[in-house]
Amino acid sequence: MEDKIKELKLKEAANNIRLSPEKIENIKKAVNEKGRKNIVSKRTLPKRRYVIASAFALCLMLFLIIDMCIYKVLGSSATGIIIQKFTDKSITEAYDEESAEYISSKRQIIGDIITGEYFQCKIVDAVYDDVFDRLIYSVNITGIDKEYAECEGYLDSGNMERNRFFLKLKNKSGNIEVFFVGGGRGGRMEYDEIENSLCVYVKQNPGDENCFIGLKKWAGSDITAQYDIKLDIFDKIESLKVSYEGTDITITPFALGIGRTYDYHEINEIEISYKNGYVSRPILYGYFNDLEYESLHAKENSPNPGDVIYFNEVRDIKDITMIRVNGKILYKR
Amino acid sequence: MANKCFVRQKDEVDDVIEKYADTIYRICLVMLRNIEDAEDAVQDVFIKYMQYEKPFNEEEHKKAWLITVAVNHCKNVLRNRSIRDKINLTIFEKNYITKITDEEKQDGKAVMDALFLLDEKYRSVMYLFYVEGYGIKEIAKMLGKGISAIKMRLKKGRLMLLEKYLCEDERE
Repeated sequence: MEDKIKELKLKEAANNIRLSPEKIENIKKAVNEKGRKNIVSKRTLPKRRYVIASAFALCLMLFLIIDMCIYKVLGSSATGIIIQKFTDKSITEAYDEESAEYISSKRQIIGDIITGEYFQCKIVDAVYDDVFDRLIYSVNITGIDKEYAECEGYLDSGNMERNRFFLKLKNKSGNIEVFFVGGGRGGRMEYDEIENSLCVYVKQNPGDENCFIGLKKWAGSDITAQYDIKLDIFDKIESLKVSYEGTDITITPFALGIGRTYDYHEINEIEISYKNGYVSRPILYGYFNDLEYESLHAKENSPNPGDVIYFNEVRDIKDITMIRVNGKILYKR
Repeated sequence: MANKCFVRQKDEVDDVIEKYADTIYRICLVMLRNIEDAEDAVQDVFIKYMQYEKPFNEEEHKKAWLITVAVNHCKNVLRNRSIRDKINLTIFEKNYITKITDEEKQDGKAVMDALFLLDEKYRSVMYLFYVEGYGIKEIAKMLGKGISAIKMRLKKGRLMLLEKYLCEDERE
């Protein structure tokens, strides 16, 4: 093998390859030029960089030291502003308990989207109203009847535990304001074309099923009370009866509805029949008497006369064919 | 700390270029398989020599240092090449060839083409062993490889060189 390689005369062939004398001269020239230039740059650049960086660092340190001294002595100065910005306690002091609560609430609700069948309502901002101790929310509402120009909601932070949500709408022509009282954050709103009403469905607590409904005809004037809101929906109903512990109680038409106000103590059972044959038996969810709210089941608690009772069942009223309370038919069509 | 200001004298550098330019060029050419790149590499190797401040004990030491620098420089060039180099078998002819007969030229081209066709790791070992006459230990040191690796490369290199040479020969 070795002999065969030697026969190839590799060394001789390779040694015949040479650089021409001109190229060697060029290389000499280039090496001397480039080599010396490189040395100059290598020698000077790092030194220059080092000097510039050191000078900059020194200036910065001097500035900070002088700045600190001036600030210590005078309390404030042109240069002291920089330090003041970092040491000013007023920023943290502003976060008092009330503001903290506000910020916390704001964080919880801002960005929430209340989606209805006909429009969507997004809470975009919140401002703390210290006069009424509440949070005023700005709401962007889309898809709603165009005659309404403004919409805003607010949370009664004075009753945070109740978490009531109010929605105010203003139309373009007049000053009609509608307040909807919700039972908690989140939920949805729907505009009922047939009844020409806006329904507000609000969750009592995050994760709950819809438990409250408020209804109001657009044409109405300022209405804030819930039973009034509900009245409009049931104005076609002449009379209704609710059986309560063996005693029939007559309920005025305005008092019946889904999520309605019942002006009585307790209902044992309610049954609602729908056009499609579906029958629901909503559970009594709780009661409401102006200032207090607590979750309760009708059978376990004894609300007082005048309390408002909500149901956790919500259906479109136009689809309801019959309502039976405690086994008795209250409404049929 | 190394003295960055060090530069060898022009005469000294010129002498070394005169003496070793061909050797370094051939090594670079064998490794890079490109005349222009090889010429640039030669310049860079001698620039490094110019700025290398440590003295050389003997001439052979200097030559070995230059070859090692050339090999490492060529490896860097190969590593930075974005496209794999295409083998151009006119490298031999395009070079400045000393006055030789046509027959010698033919033979020389055939064997050099066969060498250029080998993989880089075999080309450099074969070149250093057969052309520059370095021993296995010295080549191992220059290339930063183990002795057994060099032996293996030589063994495979021989076989491949013969194979390529015969193939090229038959083709012609």
